[in-house]
Amino acid sequence: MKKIVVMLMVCVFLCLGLNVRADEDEFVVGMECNYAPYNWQSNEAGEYGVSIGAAGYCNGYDVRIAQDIADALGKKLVIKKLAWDGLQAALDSGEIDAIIAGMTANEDRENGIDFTTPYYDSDMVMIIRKGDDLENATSIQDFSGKNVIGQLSTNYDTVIDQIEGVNHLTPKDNYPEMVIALKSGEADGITAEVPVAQGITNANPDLTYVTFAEGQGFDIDNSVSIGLKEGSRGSEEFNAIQAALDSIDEETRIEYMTWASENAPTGDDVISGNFLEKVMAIAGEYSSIFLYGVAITLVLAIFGTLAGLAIGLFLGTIRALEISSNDNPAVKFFKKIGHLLVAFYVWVIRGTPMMVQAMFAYYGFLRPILGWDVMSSGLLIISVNTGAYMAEIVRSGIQSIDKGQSEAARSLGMPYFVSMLHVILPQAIKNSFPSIGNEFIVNIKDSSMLNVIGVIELFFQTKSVAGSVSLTTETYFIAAVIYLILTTIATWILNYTENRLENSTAARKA
Amino acid sequence: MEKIIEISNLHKRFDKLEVLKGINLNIHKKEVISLIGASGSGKSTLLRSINLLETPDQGEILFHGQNILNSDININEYRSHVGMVFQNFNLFNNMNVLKNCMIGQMKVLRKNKKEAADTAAYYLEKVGMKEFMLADPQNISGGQKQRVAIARALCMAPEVMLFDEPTSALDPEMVDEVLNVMKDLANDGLTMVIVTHEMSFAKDVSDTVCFMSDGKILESNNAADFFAHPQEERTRQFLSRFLKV
Repeated sequence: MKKIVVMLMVCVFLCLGLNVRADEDEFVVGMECNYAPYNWQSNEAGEYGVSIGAAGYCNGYDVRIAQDIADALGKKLVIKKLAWDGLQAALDSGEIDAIIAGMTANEDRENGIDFTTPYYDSDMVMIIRKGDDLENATSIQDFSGKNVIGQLSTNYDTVIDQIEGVNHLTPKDNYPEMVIALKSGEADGITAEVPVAQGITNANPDLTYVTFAEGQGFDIDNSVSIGLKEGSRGSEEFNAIQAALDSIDEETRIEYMTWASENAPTGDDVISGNFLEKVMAIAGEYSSIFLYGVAITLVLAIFGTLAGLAIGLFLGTIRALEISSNDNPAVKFFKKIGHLLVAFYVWVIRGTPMMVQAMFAYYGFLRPILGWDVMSSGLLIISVNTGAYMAEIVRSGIQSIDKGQSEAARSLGMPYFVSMLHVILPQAIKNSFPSIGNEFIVNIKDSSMLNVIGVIELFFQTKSVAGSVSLTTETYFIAAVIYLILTTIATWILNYTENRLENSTAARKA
Repeated sequence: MEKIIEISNLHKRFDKLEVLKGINLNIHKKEVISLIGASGSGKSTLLRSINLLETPDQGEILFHGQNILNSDININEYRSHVGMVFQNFNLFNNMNVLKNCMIGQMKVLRKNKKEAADTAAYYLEKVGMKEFMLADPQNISGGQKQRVAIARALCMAPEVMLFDEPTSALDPEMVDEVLNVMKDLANDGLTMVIVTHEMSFAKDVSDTVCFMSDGKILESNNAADFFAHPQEERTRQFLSRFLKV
C-alpha cells in the first residue's frame, strides 16, 4: 500500500514537471482543429496536414496560412489542438506563439490579444433548407418571424438580433448540431460565413445558403486575424509575422480557401448508407482518433481513482479522528481544524460540478499562474474531485470497523497512526471496495467533462470526429458503445477482484 | 510484596452518570485479583481505566510509583506493559493468528520478524493454538479466539494482564478451555486482574476478590474468607444469587 502511494506521488510530480515549453526553432500555433474549412482534424496527413500527435492531423485554411508564415520565419510549424475558450489563456502563458483559428478581432478580444491585419475576409450568409421559400431572400429582414440559430459564444449568435422580429433560438455549441436543428425544422436558418456555409452545403446536399444584397446584410466584421500575445504589437516578432502575412497575396489566399472548402471533410464523401453502415464507416475511418481518446480516458480514470484514493485515505483518516475529552487543548484544536478543513473540501467539491471546477481551476490559476498544460491539469482536477468522494467512503469505512479493533491495537501500545495503517485502514478499504470500484466506473464516464478545458479524451475526440463528418448521431453512438464496453469490462474486473477478496477469506474458512 | 499498580481515589463519570466513585486498589506482583459484582457496578470501567481506554476524571494510578495520568507519560509505552483481554476477543480481522501475535511486538517493541515469530509460536503453543497459527480469526471458534487473544497479549511480556469478562461471550462448552489457560498463567505467577462472573473460578484462582457495587469497592478480601464469610449484606445477596443457580 505504502509503495503504491509513493509511486503515485512520484508520478504526479513527474507529470507536473514535464510541462516543457517548445524550443525557439518552433512556431507554435493554437487552433480548435474543429472549424472547417479554417481548421479540422483528420487521421490522414494529406498534402498539407500537420501532426497533432497520436490524435491525428490538423488541416485547413489556417494550417496553410500558418505553414507559410512559419516558412517565412524559418521555423518549424507546430500545431496545438486547444478548446476555443482556452486559446487566449494558452497565448498568455506562452504555450503557443499565435492563434490562427478563424478568429475575428473584436473590441473584447482586443483587450487581451494583439491582432494582425485580417488574413481572410468573407461575407456573412444564412444556411437554409433547399427548396424553402427563403431561397429568394435578399435582406436579413426577410428572416423576420423565422427561427434563426447561431454558434454559442460567437458574433454569429449576437448578430441575429439585427433581424427585427426574429425568433432567436438558443445557440448551440457547434455547426453539426445546428445542421440537425435546421434539417429537423427546429431552425429555419443558420448564420455562417461563406467558407463555412460552402463546407456545410457541400456535405449536406439538401441544404443551401443565401447571400444578401449590399447594405441588406448583417452589420458585422467577418474578417479573421492572427492573434498574438498582448503587448507584442510593434515588437520584432509581431512585425515579422505581419510581414510574413503581408507577403501572402490575395490570389494565394483565395486559392487556399477554395482548396480548404473543397477538401474539408464531409460526411457524404466517404460515408453513406444506412445508420449502421455509417457507424461502421466512421468507426473504421477514425479508429485511431477514437483509440487515442480511449487511452487518455483510461489514464484519467485510473490515475484519478488511485490518486483520489490516496487523497481520500489521508483526508478520511483525519475526518475519522475522534476528539476525546482527554485530549489536551492544542490537540483538540488541531483535530477540530482538520475536521473543518476536510468537511469544507468535501462540501465544495461534492457540491459543484467537475466541469465547473475544471474551468475555474484551469483558467483561474493552473494555466495562467502555474503554467500547467491541460493534461496535468485534467489529472489534478479528476484526482481532487475523486478525493472528496473517496474521503467520505474511507471515513464511513473506518467508522464501520468495530471499535474493539482499535481498542485492541491501542491496548498493545500501538500509536494512533500505526493502528490506522496496519489494522483499521486495511479492513476499511476491503469493506469499502465496492464503493471504491464504483468511483472508477464513474471516473471513466465523468472524465468526459474535462473536454471543457480541452483534454483530448474520448468525448473530446468524438466531438472532433462529429464535427469532421457532420454526422452527430452516428458518431456519438460509437462513443456510447465505447463507453459501455469500457465500463462493462471495468465492472467485470472489479467483480472478479471483489470475489477474490471474499473467497480468500471463505477458502480459509472451509 | 512489591506493588506494581496503586490506584487511589479514582473517579470516572460519563456525562451525568458517575461510574467510579473513588476507587482504591493495589495490585501486587504475582497477585491475582478478581473483580466481581452486578453489571453496571463499574468493574469493566475500572479495568479499562487501568490501561487508559477510559480516562479517569480524578485520582491517581501509580505504575511503579509513577502517576500515569500525568500528561508527560508516554501512554503507548505504558500500555505495552499492561496486557488486555477483551470480552469480544477483538482479534485483528485482517491478519492470521500468527500475525495477530506478531504485530505488536514488531511495531511497538521493535522486534525483528524472526524474534516476533518465535515468541508468538511459544505463547501460541502455551495456549494450545500453535497448530492454528495460519488460520484466520474468522475461521476459529470463540474459545480458540480468546486463547489467541491471550497469547497476543502475553507476547508483549506484560507485567500485568487485565481480563475483561473473558468468558462472557463464549458458548458454555468453550468456557473451560479458556479458564484452564488462565489457571495455568496464574500458577506461573502472572499478575492478573480479572473481571468475571465465574464464581468458582474466582474462588479457585484468586488471591484477592473485590466486590464492586455502585462504583465502589464494597468489600475486598482473600478468596477463601471472601466466599466463606462475606461481611456486607449486599455481597451476601449477590453471592446467594449465584449459589442458587
